[in-house]
Amino acid sequence: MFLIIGGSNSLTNRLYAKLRARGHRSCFWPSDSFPLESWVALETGPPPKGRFWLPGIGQQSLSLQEIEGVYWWFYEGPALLKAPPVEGETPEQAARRQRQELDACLLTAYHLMDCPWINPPGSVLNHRYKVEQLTEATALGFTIPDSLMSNDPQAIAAFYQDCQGEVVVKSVATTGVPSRLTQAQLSQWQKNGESKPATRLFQRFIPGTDVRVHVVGQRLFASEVLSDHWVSKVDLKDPQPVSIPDALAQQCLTLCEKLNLVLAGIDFRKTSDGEYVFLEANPSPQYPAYEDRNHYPISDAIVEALIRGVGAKHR
Amino acid sequence: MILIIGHRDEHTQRVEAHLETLGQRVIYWNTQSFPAEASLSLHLGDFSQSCLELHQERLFLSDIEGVYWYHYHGVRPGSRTTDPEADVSLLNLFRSWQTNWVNPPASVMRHRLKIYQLQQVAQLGIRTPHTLVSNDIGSLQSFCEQMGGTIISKNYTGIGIPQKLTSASLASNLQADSSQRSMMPAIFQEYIQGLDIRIHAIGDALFATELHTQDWTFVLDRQVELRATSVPDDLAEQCQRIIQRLGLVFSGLDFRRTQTGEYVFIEANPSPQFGAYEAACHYPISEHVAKRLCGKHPNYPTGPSRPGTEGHTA
Repeated sequence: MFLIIGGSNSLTNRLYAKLRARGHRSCFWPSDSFPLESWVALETGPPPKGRFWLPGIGQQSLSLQEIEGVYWWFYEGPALLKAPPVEGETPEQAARRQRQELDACLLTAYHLMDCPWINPPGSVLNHRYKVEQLTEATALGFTIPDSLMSNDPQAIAAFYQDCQGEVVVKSVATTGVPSRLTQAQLSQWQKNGESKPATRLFQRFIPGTDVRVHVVGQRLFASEVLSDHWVSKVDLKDPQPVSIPDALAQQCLTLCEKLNLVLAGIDFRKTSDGEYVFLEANPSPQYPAYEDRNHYPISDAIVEALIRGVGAKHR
Repeated sequence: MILIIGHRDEHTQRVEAHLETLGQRVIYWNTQSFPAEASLSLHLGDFSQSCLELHQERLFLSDIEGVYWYHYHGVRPGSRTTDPEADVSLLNLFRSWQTNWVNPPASVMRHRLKIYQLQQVAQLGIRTPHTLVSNDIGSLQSFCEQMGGTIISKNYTGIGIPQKLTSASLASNLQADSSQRSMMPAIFQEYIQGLDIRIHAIGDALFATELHTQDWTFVLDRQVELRATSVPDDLAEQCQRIIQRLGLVFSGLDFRRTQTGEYVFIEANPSPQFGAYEAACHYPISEHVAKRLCGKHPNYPTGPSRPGTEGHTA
């Protein structure tokens, strides 16, 4: 039995169908079914043992040993109960504490599942630490854009000058559409001393095209993404299959090993002189558009990796 | 210069005094000053330019030799609306900052998953309590029966006091609504009778203390008596393996010693409150922490008088 952490959607249904076609059972486990519609009873080991009762498999329970592998798609977080505040707590503090308790329990349950994961929870959640990831990438020899994480208007203004006004603003922790830093924003921060900028990751804009490399185990699927916009995330038009240099391919595999990822969508900017500049490695990539348009067998490779048990273990 | 993340109290003051003797300037940072009254600028790839602005002073990260992660208070409450990533930005800074950490941020943050920590220690072949992670009332009742009718319940966040539960008290609490299957999950453990032992491990040094109490756990007893004790060689070796496995350089390791002399590992605290132990047993814990922060590693004797065991008997 394979578990898919997250709900049913076009991406996870694709994996579910492919596993089923190859004679393997799988089951969705949306985290928000916990704790009211799914139950765990896990005991520490060695080895750990225990059972799950999950929506979608009726009244039957599933033993820890029956789980052959897990695909982490999406963590919605647990459903909240109405827990009474303890002494001195506000309702908001009580809700936050309860969320922490439920998160910790679910994540503990995941960590006691000592089977191959694509990808392990710790590795997925580490994606919040982009600065750490960029530091790791630099240590492995990738070129990264000049980067600053800051909430200091003066430091941001100096960085803007250093980059000749070509600066991209990104979330520190999440994958979203970046924006461009403008002189108007800088002026506003400088004019209004009381209003500091929110902490963000600022990077020198790299002219070029976007290249996305999907890594599944030892397999790589590279696409160049053409776009009318300065960032292809806004209009993912026509990903084209491309080949990448062997040295870069090897660096991608080494980075995944370092980050304990079996599956990753690694984003690069390719400059006009052929240099690849590393932007980020996403542990839960949205790959169907690349699979469909480039006829890349990415979900087959994921299913193959799950069946062969080449997922990563917790570190 | 040494940065202490947290507040000044009887524990950090002890470390501060040793740091000053070592010629270090000490800066405290209650991170709740961020982002409104503190700024950070981390230049990736050019650490020499990276700085913090705390207490209206610019501090270059390269001038800070060590950071003591004592207590992370989080960022300023209410800052989510103006700076939604303030908290994760600070954690990004800490995790990518190469310096003398006590303890490394990633290791401290992993402590949130206490039971995974316990599992990792169990995998080293070290005795740990039988532990159940569950939100299923029926499984809890079965576990309690299997454990002889008495278990301990703790929550994950460490807020609140552990409770001793019996089959009878469970039955009576759950009787009120027998239609419910789900309960708020908690950590449930076998109850181990014995004496609590706290071992402060800092690098190679171990400082062991017995906690004598009239209650079933020292947590409930304000009159707990602390007595220095020695660490058997095999336990000392276990302690070293535990802190290495958990990536800690300083830890308060809690054990229970049973009547048969077996040591059962309970948990490893990455930010132990050690002042009372140091005062009662005259242990140089804060001095070791201070030296570690400065990158100094004291030379310890080797052989039978292993570090931390000599001269520490009551």
